[in-house]
Amino acid sequence: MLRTLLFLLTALPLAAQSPLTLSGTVTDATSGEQLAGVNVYLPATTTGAQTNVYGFYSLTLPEGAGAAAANWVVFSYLGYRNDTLRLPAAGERLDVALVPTNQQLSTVEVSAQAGAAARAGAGVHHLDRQAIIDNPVLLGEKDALKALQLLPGVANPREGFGGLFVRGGSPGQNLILLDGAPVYNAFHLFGFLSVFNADALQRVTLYKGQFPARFGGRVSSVVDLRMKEGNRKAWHGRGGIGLLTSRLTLEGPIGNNEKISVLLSGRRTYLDAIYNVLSGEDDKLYFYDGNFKLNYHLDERQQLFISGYLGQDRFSFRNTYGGTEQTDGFDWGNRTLTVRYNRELGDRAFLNVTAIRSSFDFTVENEEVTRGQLYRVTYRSGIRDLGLQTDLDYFLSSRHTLRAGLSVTDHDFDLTTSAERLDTGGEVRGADTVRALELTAYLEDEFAISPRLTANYGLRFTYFDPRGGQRNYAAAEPRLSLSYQLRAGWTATAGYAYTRQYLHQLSNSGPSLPTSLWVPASESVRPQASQQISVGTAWSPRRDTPWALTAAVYVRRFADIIGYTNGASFFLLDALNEPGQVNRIDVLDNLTTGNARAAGLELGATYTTERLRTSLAYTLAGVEERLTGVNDGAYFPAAQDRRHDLTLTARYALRPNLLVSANWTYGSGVPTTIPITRYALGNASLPGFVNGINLQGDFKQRHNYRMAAVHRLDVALRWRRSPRWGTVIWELGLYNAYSRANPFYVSTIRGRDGYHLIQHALFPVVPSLSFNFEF
Amino acid sequence: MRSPSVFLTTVSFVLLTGGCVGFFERELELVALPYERQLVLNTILSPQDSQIRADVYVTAPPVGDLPTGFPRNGMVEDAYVRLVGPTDTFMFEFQRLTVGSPTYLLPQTEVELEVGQLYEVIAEWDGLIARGQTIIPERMTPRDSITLQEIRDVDGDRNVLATWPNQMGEADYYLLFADEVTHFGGSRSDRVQRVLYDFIHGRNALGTELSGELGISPNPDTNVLNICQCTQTIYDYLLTRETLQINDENPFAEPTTVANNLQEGLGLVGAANCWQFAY
Repeated sequence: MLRTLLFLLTALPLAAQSPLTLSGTVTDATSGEQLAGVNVYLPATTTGAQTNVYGFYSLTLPEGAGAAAANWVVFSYLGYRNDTLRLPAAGERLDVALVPTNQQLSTVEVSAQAGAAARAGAGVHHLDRQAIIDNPVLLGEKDALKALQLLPGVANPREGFGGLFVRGGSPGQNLILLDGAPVYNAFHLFGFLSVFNADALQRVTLYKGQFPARFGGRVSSVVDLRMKEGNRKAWHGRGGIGLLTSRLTLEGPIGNNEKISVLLSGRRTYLDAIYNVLSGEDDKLYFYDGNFKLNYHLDERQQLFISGYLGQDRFSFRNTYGGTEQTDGFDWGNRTLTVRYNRELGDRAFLNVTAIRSSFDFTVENEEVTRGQLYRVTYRSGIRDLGLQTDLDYFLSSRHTLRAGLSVTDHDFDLTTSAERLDTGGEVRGADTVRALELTAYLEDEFAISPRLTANYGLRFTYFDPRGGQRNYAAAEPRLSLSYQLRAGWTATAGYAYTRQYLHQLSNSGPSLPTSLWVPASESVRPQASQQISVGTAWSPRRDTPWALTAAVYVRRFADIIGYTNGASFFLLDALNEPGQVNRIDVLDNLTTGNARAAGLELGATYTTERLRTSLAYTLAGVEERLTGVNDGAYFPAAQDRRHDLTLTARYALRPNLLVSANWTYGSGVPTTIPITRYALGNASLPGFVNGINLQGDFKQRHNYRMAAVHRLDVALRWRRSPRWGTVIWELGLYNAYSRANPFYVSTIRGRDGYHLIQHALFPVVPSLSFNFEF
Repeated sequence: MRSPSVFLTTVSFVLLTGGCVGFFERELELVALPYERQLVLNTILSPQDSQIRADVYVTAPPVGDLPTGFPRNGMVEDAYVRLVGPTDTFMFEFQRLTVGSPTYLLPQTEVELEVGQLYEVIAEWDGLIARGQTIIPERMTPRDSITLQEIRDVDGDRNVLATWPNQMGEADYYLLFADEVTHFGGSRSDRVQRVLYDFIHGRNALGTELSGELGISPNPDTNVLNICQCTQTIYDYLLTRETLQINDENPFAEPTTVANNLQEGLGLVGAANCWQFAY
């Protein structure tokens, strides 16, 4: 595979360059924001291109095309009206502003729908903001990651959680990028809501494993979220008041020359204020987040972006008993900062230079004050990245688009925990930090081999160097994706990807807390890797048919994954002993390694008319893992092993301003662990000892029991009104409309008459009402 | 305006029928639960003990009612328990003690445990068998290298801080416990309560000294502090049992499998060789 790719890269037909090139940018006519993924098409020559993420396109024309009066260029994009323009004279730019359709239920152009279906067949899904906000969700909180859960191949093993399990991968194997900056923990409220405010997002793209060489660093999937750039033409705002949060987003130009735009967005919960007033307590129960983006068009070929995110969850409870005042706290948060400069180099090349800072940390604190004496233990862990990367898009010819890049990232891990203890023993710290350097280079070619066959192939080189004498690692990651048009509207795809990940996320196999640790590859922990082979097809019939169908099959292997050993949890990690001290229990004592295998079949269907949009997503999948020391080293079902996953969605415009939306989801039960037996039922300890521990159960096999299937109906009614100052949208929602007791976890509980197996559920039917506005 | 009333009625019905009662916690049917009936054997062989003890249990289903005829607390009283030494086999005898739980006893007047020798303990009952082996470890730490320092904690309780050299090896495991002995005199035997204080693994990266704290109870006539070199099996067993206890009812922790060194059955057959200090 590696040799083949190297051969293809060196055999590029450089001599086939044409002197005629059409280039420019495509923007939104109302906001001036650049549009990514717009199809640019010359019907006369059947050649085309797509805009990159900054709206730039470059299309090499055949000899004489510019002079032909009959040559037109067509611009089409989902949710926008098509635009057909005459080819400009040779050497002139063609910048285009597309007009959005501006309907509650977007009218989808059939050609754009066909393109979306073809991408979905290849494992790439785009979501725009409308698709996110039409989705009925818990308490009406719009969530980009929960919208992704509706897609085939994406599972969510815990009721109400937003975690993404993509094609057998786990959440720590997804690369989640916000304007290019990795987000290490993408959730608020212990996982129930993502950190991404839908009002600030422009577009979300999910790559389910067939991701091109420009993406890497994770083995399962890439979620590429792009923030809105800010309206360059006029000031606008949107916001909402819901049961859980209130939010406000403002965007607009600075100055009159449409060169600078800004976006500011904020969101906060207020449950704590209500709860404290009602209970008389002084507890903290809230999260907040904020986004900003500054977009400066230096000239028509150069831009500077600065964007950032800041979010924090704070939970703190105070309790007084027997003269002791106890406070338990749990905080976590992300911060990202992206500074990006890009410019067009001639009419064929586009250069990006990006500096990134991203950090995540969490703190768990327990404080007790007894008779004036303070005892406090604080667990902290986190990761901080500093990175610099350059990316070059080069539109070599009508058949080749090359992409190349270099990046360097400095990782700083607060690997396990640090602690302070302020009792008679004074302060003790047990910090364990690691720094590492990650270098990446990639080269990728989008190659139109023939009018029907296109390929995206590339190679990604990575090098990981933990400082302090630890072992370093390097790898070459080949990627290949093929697409063949069998006939009009019918596409077949195939692909192979090898991916490496130098950071492991150590989570427990049951429901997760934000205490998952990021563990770097080291002497004793190898980097994880994945190989995936997939085959897919997409069928979007004639122009007058509203159907689109997709199907895909994948097989996947994960190597050198890690997991907790039996009985381990984050809270057992030793915070009070220095690294290397007696009886210290550190990360390496608590983890085990192994591999995993996954396979699946994905089916998708959409039916779209002017008033109705429905979709079906079905996944038949299996995921098994094998960890040293767990289940006698045999394969066992992974936590995300959900055999059947079915989602039906419908959006129906009852009236132009009244939309009803519904999701029905079904997922077969996921595995969990229950004891196989119990013994030593009295107060027995070791023979002869009067103290010790009374056993309650023996867990011999991990994931030896499957919980009940999950199914749920969520519905929402959106009513849009248009007062003179803007738009008002009321939304009435019902989460879990028929109140199905979906299992969150099961446990054995000791009652008066013996032990019982109990299923714990979280959400009965939850109604919600929210008020949203735009101006 | 019929639709809103129908909608509200439906919502109310769903809330009442499917809603809160029994929603959040619901007992599951027991049909599909796995259950493995096994014999459990726990024993620690120590040359310093006058009597070797062994406890024998049978496991119960993880949830639900106990099987008919299930022994009280699962403790088996009529098992066939024996110690197989290098040269001979010795039988344990089930006895009810004045202090502590009933157990199987083997006086060390019949058998004398020798350092470095392999011993096997076997229990059989109702077609089940539990069987494990252990070697009596050497006391690598000289007695005079152990320093004892009496300290009082903030509540005025007496404790002893024991310190001894780290053996710099992977095989040095320690068990710390105290025997609280009350002497009755005459023909009545002493009453002994054994209290576990610590279990330690002295890894080579841990510095030059190890230490542990033992309590001195004011009530018994004598406190015999035991600082024992023990087998890794004891350390692993106690560590995993402690983990199991800490993680009880914690859905966010990985389920714990208690360490088991038996060739058949479940439990612990370990050994400890102790230095004893009287207070």
